[in-house]
Parts: sequence; C-alpha cells; structure tokens
Amino acid sequence: MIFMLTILAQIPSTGQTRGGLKGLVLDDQGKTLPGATVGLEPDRHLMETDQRGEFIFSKIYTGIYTVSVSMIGYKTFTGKISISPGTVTNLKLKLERGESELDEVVISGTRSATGNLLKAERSAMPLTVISRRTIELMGSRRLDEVLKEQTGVSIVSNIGGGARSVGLQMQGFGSEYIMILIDGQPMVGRNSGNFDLSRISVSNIERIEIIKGASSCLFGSDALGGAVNIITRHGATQPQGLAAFNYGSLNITDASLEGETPFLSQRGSAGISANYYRTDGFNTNPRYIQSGTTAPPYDNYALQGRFRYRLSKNSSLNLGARYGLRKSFMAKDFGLGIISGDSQDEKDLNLSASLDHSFRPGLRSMSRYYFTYFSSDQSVAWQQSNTVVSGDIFKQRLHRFEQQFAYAAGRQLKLTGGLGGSLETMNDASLTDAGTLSTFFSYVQGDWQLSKKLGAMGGLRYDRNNSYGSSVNPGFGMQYQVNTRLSIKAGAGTGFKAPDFRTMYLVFYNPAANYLVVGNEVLAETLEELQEGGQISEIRQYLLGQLGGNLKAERSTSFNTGMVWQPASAVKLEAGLFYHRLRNQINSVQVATGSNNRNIYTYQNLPRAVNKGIDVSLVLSPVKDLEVSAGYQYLEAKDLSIQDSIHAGNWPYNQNIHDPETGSSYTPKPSDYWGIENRSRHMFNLRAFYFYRPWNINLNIRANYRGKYPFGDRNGNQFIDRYDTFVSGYFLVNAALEKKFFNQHLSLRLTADNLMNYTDMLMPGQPGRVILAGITYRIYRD
Amino acid sequence: MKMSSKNLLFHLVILLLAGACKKDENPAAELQDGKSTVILDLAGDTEAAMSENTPGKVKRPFNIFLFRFKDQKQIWIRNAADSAKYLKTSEWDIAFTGPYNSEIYVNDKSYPYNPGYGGAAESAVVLLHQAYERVVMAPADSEFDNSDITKIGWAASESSGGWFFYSLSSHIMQAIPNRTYVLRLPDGKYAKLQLLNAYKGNPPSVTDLNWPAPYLTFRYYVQQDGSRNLSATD
Amino acid sequence: MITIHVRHAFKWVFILSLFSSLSPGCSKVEEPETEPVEAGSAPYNKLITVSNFGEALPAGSEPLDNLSPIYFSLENKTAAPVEYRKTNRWDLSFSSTYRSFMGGNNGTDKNNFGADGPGKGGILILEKNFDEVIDIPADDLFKSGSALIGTDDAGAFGQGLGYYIYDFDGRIQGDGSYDKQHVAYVFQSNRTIVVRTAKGNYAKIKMLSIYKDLLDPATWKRDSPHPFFSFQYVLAVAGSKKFEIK
Repeated sequence: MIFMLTILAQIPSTGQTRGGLKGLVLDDQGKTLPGATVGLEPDRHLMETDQRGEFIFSKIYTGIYTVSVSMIGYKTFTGKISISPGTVTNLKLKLERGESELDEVVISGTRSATGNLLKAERSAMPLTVISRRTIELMGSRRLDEVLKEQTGVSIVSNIGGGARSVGLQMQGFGSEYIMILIDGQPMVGRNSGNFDLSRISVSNIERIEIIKGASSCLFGSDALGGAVNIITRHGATQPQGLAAFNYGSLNITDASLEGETPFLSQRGSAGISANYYRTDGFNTNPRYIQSGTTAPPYDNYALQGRFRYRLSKNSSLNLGARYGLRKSFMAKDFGLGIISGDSQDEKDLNLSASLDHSFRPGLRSMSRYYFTYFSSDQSVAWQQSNTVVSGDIFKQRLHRFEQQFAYAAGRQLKLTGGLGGSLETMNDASLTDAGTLSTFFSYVQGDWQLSKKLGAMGGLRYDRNNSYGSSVNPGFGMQYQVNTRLSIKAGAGTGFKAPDFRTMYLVFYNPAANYLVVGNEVLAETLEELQEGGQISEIRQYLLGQLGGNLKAERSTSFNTGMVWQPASAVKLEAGLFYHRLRNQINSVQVATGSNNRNIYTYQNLPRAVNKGIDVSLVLSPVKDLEVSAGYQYLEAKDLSIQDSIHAGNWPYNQNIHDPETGSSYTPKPSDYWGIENRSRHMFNLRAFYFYRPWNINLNIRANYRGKYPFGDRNGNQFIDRYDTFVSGYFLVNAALEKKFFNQHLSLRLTADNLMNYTDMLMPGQPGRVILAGITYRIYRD
Repeated sequence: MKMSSKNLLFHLVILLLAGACKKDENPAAELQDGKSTVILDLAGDTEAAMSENTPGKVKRPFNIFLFRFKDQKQIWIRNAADSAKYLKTSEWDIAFTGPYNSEIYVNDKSYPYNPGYGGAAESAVVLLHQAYERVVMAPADSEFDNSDITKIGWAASESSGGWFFYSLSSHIMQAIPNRTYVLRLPDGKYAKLQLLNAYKGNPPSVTDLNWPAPYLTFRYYVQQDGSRNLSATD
Repeated sequence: MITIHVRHAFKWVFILSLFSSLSPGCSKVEEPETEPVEAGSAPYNKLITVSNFGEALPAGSEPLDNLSPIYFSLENKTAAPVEYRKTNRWDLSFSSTYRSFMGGNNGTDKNNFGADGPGKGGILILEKNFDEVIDIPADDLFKSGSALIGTDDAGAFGQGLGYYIYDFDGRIQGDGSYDKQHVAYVFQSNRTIVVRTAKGNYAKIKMLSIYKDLLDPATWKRDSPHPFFSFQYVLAVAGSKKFEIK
C-alpha cells in the first residue's frame, strides 16, 4: 500500500505531558477527502476530517499511538506515530482506493504485543480477522452472535452439549475440535465437549482471529478444526470509561461499565470492566411444550480486570483476571402433567500472569502462567419418574505454564519456540473416576521470507498426554505474491485429539431435546441399569456389540489452499479449497431408544471421515459509502468407511434404503449416502454496510443462509440418506443501525436479529425475532 | 462494476422471501387431531426373529410389552420376574404380543390366552368398520358384552377382527384401513384405538421384507369424562 | 412339497410349509358321488364320515389359483364346483391360509363367498365334545362371514376359538424337532363346529385331521400331505331342536 506521510513542522503547544496531532487527508486523486475517520489507538480517539479534509487532536497524552485513517471505498491506512509533549505533530497522507477496514486490519510492521509471540497470521491455515469496529457495527453482544455470521462458520447444537451450550462448526468440524483462546490462552469449561460461546460478552474484545483448519502445530490437541483467538483490549494512555445499556425483546438486558487508566506516568495501566446480561429464554416448540422454554433464561455476570506494568525499559508484566457467573433455571411442561425442572449455575474464573522481556533487539521472551477454574452445578428433576435424572456438579481446573522465545535472525527469518505443560483436573459427580490430565508440549515455528514475493513457514509441535501417549504434529505453509493484485496461500498440517473424560465416562441427560448421552466405557452397565428401571424401549444390539470401550484418539491431516485477488480497487475476491482427512473421528451415534422416545447416544470412532469443500468471499464497494460482501461455503463431510461398506455390501449397509413416505425400497449405492449429521452442504452470507452521510448514520443488513442438514437416521439403515430427518435450510436476517453524537462520545444503536422470525423445533437454541435498543457513552477528555 | 443499491435491495428481498417459508417436517402431522395421542415408531422386540439367519436378529420368541394409555409407558416383559410384577395388574391397558408384537390384547382377566388372565382388570373391545375420525360414539354395553374379539392381530379374512392382512405372495403385513377398535376400560371409560403400522416410519405399504420392524404406530383417544362421546375434534 | 427356508424378517413360514401345490388329483374321494346332485341326498340324523376332502375335486371345482377357496356340500356329501358359488348347493367354504378357515354359505353377508346367492347358512364353534352337543344353538348365534373358524389361540396365529392348534415351533405338541414344526393339530376333543346349511338345515361337525389318510395326531408331520380334510358330521332338519343319531 502506498501512502504519503509527511511530517510537517512541529508546532509548540501548551502543557508538558500532552501533545497534539493534526493533519490533512487526501484521496487517490490528490483532492482533499472530507468525512474520513481518523482513529488513534490506544485510547480510541476518533475524529472525522472536515470539509477541508483536515483533522486535529489536541491535548492528547504523549506516547506512541497507532493511527488509522479509514473511509468506505478506500484502503485503510495505519501507521505508528509518536506524540511528544508540547508539540503538535502534523501529518499529511493520501488514501488509496480499495476495500476498507471493516473486514480485515492489516498492519504493516509488527503487531503490538498481545500476550502471544506466535503470529496467527503466519499460520499455514486461512485466517479471518474481525475487527472491533465490525463487531460494534453489527451490534452483536455475545461471541456466538459475532462468529456465526462469518463465511463457513455456523453455530450448532451438537448432541453432546446441553440446551445452553452453543458450539461452533467450521469446515465441517464440530466444536470439540475448535479451540477457543483468550489472548493465546485456552479457555476451559467445555460442557460435554461444547464450549458455551454465549458466555462471552464482546464488550472487551479488540479483535477476533479465526484460523480454520488443523492448527495442532500452533495450539495443541484440541485444534483439529481450527482456533478462535480472542484478543482483548489493553494499555490505555489516558483515562477513559464507557457505559453501555441495551434492552429489548425477551427482556434482554445488557449493561456494561468499563474504565481504564494509565498510572505512574504511563509506566502502568489498569482497566476494569463489568457486564450484566439477562434473557428470558424462548420456546421453539410451542406445540409440544406448553409452557417453558427450549432455550433457557439466564442471568450472566462478568467482571474483568487487566493490569500492565513496565518493570524496566525491556520488561513488562501483565496480569489479568476474569470472573463470570451464570445462573439459569428452565422449566418445561410437555402438557401431560409432566414438568421437568432444570437449573444450572456456572462459575468461571481465569487468572493469568505473564512476563515479557526483551533481551536485546531481536530476542524476546515471554513467560506465562494461567489458571482456570470452571464449575457447573446442574440438576434435572424429571417428575414423572420421581427421580433426579441427572445431578451434575462438574468442576474443571487447569494450571498452565508456558515459556516462549521469539528470535529474529536478520530480516528474513523469524523463529518462535516454546515449551510448557498443563495440569487439568476434572471432578464430576457423574463420572465414575475423577481424573487428572497432564500434558507437556513444546514447539518451534519458523517464518522465512524467501524472497520479496515468497514467504514460507514451518512448524513442529510435540505433545505428550498422560493417557494417550505422545504425538508430533508438523505444519507447513507458503505465501506467494504473484503480483500486486494476486496472492496465493497454501498450507498443510496435522492434528491430534485424545478422547476426554466425558466421552469415556459421563452419563448426561439433556432435558430440552430429551436425549441421553452415555460415555463409551460405561455403556453396557448404564444400559442395563436403565433397562432394570424400565426406561428402555429398544437397544440396537448390533451397535452395542461393536462398541464398548476402547475409543481411539483422533488424528487428522489438513490441506488448505487459497488465493486473494483484487482485480479492481473496489473489488476483492478470496477463494479457498480445504480438505481434511480424519482417522477415528469421534462421533455420537444412537445406540438405544428410551421410554417416551428418548434417544440414547454414545460415541464411536468413524474410521475414515473426510471434510472437504470450497469457500469463496467477495467484497465490493459499488458506490461511495457502501460496502457489500458475500460469502459461500460448500462442504461435504462424509465417513468414507460407510461408503466403502455400501459398495462392498457389508451388513448392515447392504440393507435396502426405505422411503417411509411411499413404502418403496431399493438397493443402496454409495452415492445414496448423504454425509455426517449436523453438517450443511451449502452456507451463504450476504452483508451490506452503509454509511448515510446526511444523517451521520451507519446501517447494515446481513442475511445468512444455512442449507439443510441431517438430524438423525429415521429409516433405520445406520447411515444418513435422503429419507432421514433433516433440518430444513433457512435464512436469518439481521440488521443494525447506529448514530453517533457529541463528537463520537455518545452512540445510539438499534439492533434487529432474525427479522424474519424464523424458528424450528429442531433448533432449540435459535430464538425468534429479537429487537434491542442501546445507548453507549464514552467518557474521555477530548 | 456498478450495481445500483435498488437492484441489490430487490435481490435481497427475493432471498428473504424464499427463506421465510418452511415446510412442516413433522411426519405424524396428518395423524394429529389435537386430542388423540399418536404413538409413532414405538420399538417392539426388534431383536427377535421368526426364523434363523435373519441378519442382526436372533431366532427366539418375541418378548411382549405392555402399554399404558395415560402416560404412554411401555413395560417390557422379559422374564418371570417381569411377568409376576406386571401381568396380573391394572398397570397396563393393552399388550403387544405374538410375532413382531402384532397381536394386541386388551387387559382382560377372563380369557385364558390374555396376558392379564386371572388378574385385576376387565376390558372389552369391539371392532367398528369405520374410519377413526368418524367414530364419535361408543356402542352400547350389550355390544361389548357380546363381543367375541379375544385378540387383535392377523385377519384371516375380511370377516376377521384383526387389524392387518398378511399377503401370502409378498409376505408383508398390510394394515386394513377403516378399522377402529372401541374399548371399554376397567374403570368404565371408553376409548378408541387405531392400529396403523408395524413398520418403521409408518409407510403406506411395504415391499421389502427387511423393512425395519417391529416399530408400532398407533393412535388412541380416551374419553376422560366417562361418557360415550369419542369425538376427538372440536 | 417345498419348505422354503426363511432368511428375511416376517415371512410366515408355516403358511408356505403347509401349503401344497395342487395338481389335478387322480385318486378318488372315498365315497364317490359324481352324478349331478339333488338337495338332501345325504341322510339326516346319521353319522357321516368324510375323508380327504380336498383331493380329487370334481372337474370345475379346481380352484382358479392356489389360494382360492374350495366348497363342500354337507347336504350332498360332495365337493361343490366353483360355479355353484351363488347357489345353495354348498354349505362349507374352506379358504384363506392352507384353506383351513371355514365359513358357511350366506347370501346376505357381502363378505361371504355366497354373497348375493340364496344361502341362508352360518357357522359357529363350541368348546364342547361332539357327543355332548345335543341342543341346536339359537339362530342368532351363527355367524355369516367366511374364513371365520380356523386357528385357535392356544397355538400360533390364533383367531380366537378354533378347531386346530398351529404349532409353529413344534414345541406345543412335539419335541421341537424339524418334523414336528409347522404342524396343524386338529383338536380331538372339546371342539364342535355347528353349521346352518345353505338351505337352513343344521349340521354339527367334528374335524378329524387335515393330513391325508392320517388320523392319529402322533403321525402328523410337517411334510405330511395336506390339506386334505377328514371330518364327521350329523345333519338335522330345519326346525329341529336337537342333534340326534338315529
């Protein structure tokens, strides 16, 4: 990107701890550009250029800022500028036509320290970045809402989770395979393998990085499908605060208070934020559930603090703490006088400390310690049988230590390496054996700029797990800049995932969708116990004979390739191909039917599964102030061993396929096999962001389409074919509107989610239309 | 590339309208009348078979199961302990016995082959050759007293009281339409019952011998106020 | 006779194994009655024995296909050809599975094979010994349908009170061995069928066997030739109140 930065005369100004910044912004033709947004980070100063294309920030604290200048239809400019006391720095710059900040922030030069020396954008796998501004404009409040609008990402209710948990699915991988990290540290608290993303408020998020594809090399065994790294805000250079309040449908209330300030003359900074969120929940199945909800109501409290102190010129200390509490109760009446009551209290505590030291230019070290505690107290009483069906106090503790080094050997080569270990304990009233899991890991990653156009990356990670042995996972990638308009990226990597305690031992009941999940090791005895209690309608003996213990660890190999093409300045096209090959993928399977048609699942290994597909996204700026983007993913997720068995005519796959609608039956062919449950073939999204200048309003409208996906095997032939139960494809349309006042201090927002009010009883977690109005006020000195 | 925003809006609206409509995928929808209880695909003894070498199944007698109308409880009778515990009680309303659980008995203590023989309950059943929706009134007590239906299963001919024909050429069970059973329950209440299918998914007819079975589909309505009114629509 | 081994779910083996492929018979009914009949040529109030009905059917009474019913005239002690269906020249139909299900001849019941004909008949079964059935049951107790009386609930696929027990597994009356499976055991006591003939007279029937020439239950085996019905009956004229053997 070409820019012109001219620092003109330094004009003395009043005050010794403050300085100023002023400047002029020109467009690509050299004409003055009014209405461009100029931002300074940290501290989030925002200003718009006036009619003459000029802007001025006066009386800002001295320090090093990242300045970004953006305008819809132009490439965002970013750079670093230093504000000195008593002077006003003067900037003149020229913007180039292109796509703007909303999708991706590409910062030239090194990214500021985020608590992790590993460079996500150097991963071999495709990377999507969601900036804070985009999150604000979308009006999204919870993490799952932000993520599900990205191309190729969907939010699913996986079998293993409860009504409360919403999990991600990326490129065909379920949420058990996607690692969630905060500033590079993994978040614990996976309820039955699903991670409840709705627990995380977005109010403190700076940026979200989404890496798709096997990233075990970077992040370890839970990242077969990819990783979502949530980068939080840090390091203010002037005191500031924020108060926000949103209210709307379902009595949703979302209130936040934040404040941060530097102290000791910029040697340190501290910040705190508090958030309260509540919802009434909703019922997507009013026909069969007379009163009560399928998605639960809850109250969520979150408190966060961050502290940063520069110990010396070369070292700094970062401390963070995060506490969350969620209380929820759900009552459901099926209309037969049977009411189930389901309560869950979740507590979530994260503490982190890291020490960052620069030995000499080019050699940095970071040491960190991380502690997480997650506790969930869940009890379900099923009145009919007068028993507590599942009473579950689940506690999970993780201690993690990691030592990282980053070394730059000349301008072309950067090396990062590290080692660490973790100790995880899980005690759960339902688990028969409380256990501990200890791991040790070490990794090295190299980043090599082979030539001006070609960059390569390679990495290697070693993991050792106390129950599943060790594994070495490599990753490779390369990036080639064909010309100024076209670049190509390709990568390959492997991944590894050990079955966790839950898939092996836990018996878990989900009242919302009326199913039971039984861990593999305790399957036979649990079924027998249920049968004694008269709770079983049918057991699929064939499956039972095949299962029973010995779940194997999963291994995957991923290939990704993609290109970014910018044929014209207002058009950008990204396309990619992915291919993931999984051995022994752990998948849930129905092994029995309980009384009242309750499905009973357990886990099995799918010998050879494949997720493959393409994704494409297009960003256009057809007119000034309007940006339109569209994305599409095609996915095929299949278990190859089923296809082979159909082909070979092995029982039970040689049974005829039955169509219950007509009663006809015919011999199956491998092409009759549709694919794995819960994966859609087609996903599509369309977004438009528009800035209406006369009223100074930002508005956007987003439509997401998720193609139909299989829910379960209805005709009893042990694989998904076209006659089985499918959840219909659907559209979700969201829109938001924002207006700022008082020089960007105050913003009013109106958000509408699911405008078409689409619900389906097979999607218990998807609410109908939700409309919220909100107000945010930023407190800072201009 | 210039696209007017109007054009864009138009396309968006088309997409939205297309996605707004959704089919009702509920397979039992046409059986529902709002009052009757519809039981779909209740698993019978899917492990047993009539003959050797049936893949996935074992040649052995079929375990019977009992069914209770009020809470749809399925009670399996697998051994002597289960028999002793449940058969001679009023804990069940109908029993599914015989091959593929296709022979249904109403709980009656007086008939020797009835699972409830010598027990506590006295039910009677008559067959009406009418569609389920059209049965609105239970017949007089004399009809129940004179009824000679002992077991509801295979109909050897049109004159039989059974609920399905067995086709000799294809060896497939075919449910007979327009047969509704009216029950007089031990507590004096009246109920109507329709037996629909023993094949999974309630297909209209079946040609494959290996269609998953038995998965019983049936529906019933119990008139709680004790009257003879069996109309299940308002 | 072919016993087809069942490999698939829900094949009702007993039907196949008991079924005999019919070919035009060449041997004769034991008491030949081949000349055109007149009503009432069989004597009233006498014990009449019929052996192996089902074999050597007169020309014209061969069923159109293997499953069609065959008809017997009690009044004339002879098989009736199919053309006589809408007449009163037959009194018993044997139909459905193995042709073992019996019905009377009644023109008013649309489910009866004699529908729209003049028949006034009916059928019922009593749980009594043949000799103990003296009183003729009231007319309204007779049932007018076809294929009504066959298997008994004591065996497999029972249809209520029947004249034979179908022993699917061979364990009810036998030791479960191959030969004793799928045997139809006609009750030797405690079952009497009472028929009102097409003309309104009465008969009580004791079924003996469905196997050709075999009257001893111990000799009945899976592959014994069947169905060939052997039975005894006594006729009583309309208006009588009792069955008597004079």
